[in-house]
Amino acid sequence: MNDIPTGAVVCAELAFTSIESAARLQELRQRAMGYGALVSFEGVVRPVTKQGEPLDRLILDHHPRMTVSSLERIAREGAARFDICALSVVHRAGAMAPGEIIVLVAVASDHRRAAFQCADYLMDRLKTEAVFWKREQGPFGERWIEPTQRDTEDRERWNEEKTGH
Amino acid sequence: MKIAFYGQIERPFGGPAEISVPEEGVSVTTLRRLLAARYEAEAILERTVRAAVNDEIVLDTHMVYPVDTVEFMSPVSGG
Repeated sequence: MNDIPTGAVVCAELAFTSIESAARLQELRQRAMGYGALVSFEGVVRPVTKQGEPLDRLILDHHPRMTVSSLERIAREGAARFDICALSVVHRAGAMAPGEIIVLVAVASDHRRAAFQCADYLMDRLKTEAVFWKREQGPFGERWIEPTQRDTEDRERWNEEKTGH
Repeated sequence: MKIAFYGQIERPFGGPAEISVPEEGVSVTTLRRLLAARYEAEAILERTVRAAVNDEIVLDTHMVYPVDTVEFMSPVSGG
């Protein structure tokens, strides 16, 4: 957890076990003083692949140092860009079964717009810049998943848009 | 020098690679060519595979020395 110049409370964490989102949201509520809106997003392992095959496991490999620093950088820059009170980014690494949470993003702010926009911004950056390598396993064997053109386009729209205050 | 790989690019190497780098250093471009030749791994020449030296992503013109920690990475994807 870091205090940054905006005064927002920022938490970015790499998790190796299940993300307990209710507990994480309660932590954020306690840290965020005087907020009026809280937006949360969970990315969850789907039971089927994009090709429609059943999925047994999703595995996220990580880098021993660069992964955590990428999460911290994205979280700090989200807090600096939007008028928010607090945010929390928790990202899983390792093997996950369908239904498990891959990432939790939660943002508390005075008003809803900044919280919605900040959560959207954080996810677009996590999809393209968080230092993870994904592979899926199932009856088809194993396959690597790389970011899509859509992910890149979603990320690039923040280069043009104004910040949400 | 031991070189680590992350993501899909690890596959043609089957684990960390070991390669000698002269004291005067080599560019990342040269290092890619050396690895491609020694391990028969053309994929290391692809521009989407990024090089990191001492935990920083670098350009192919960056010079690499024997003391450096060098890693190659396939495109990253979180979320």
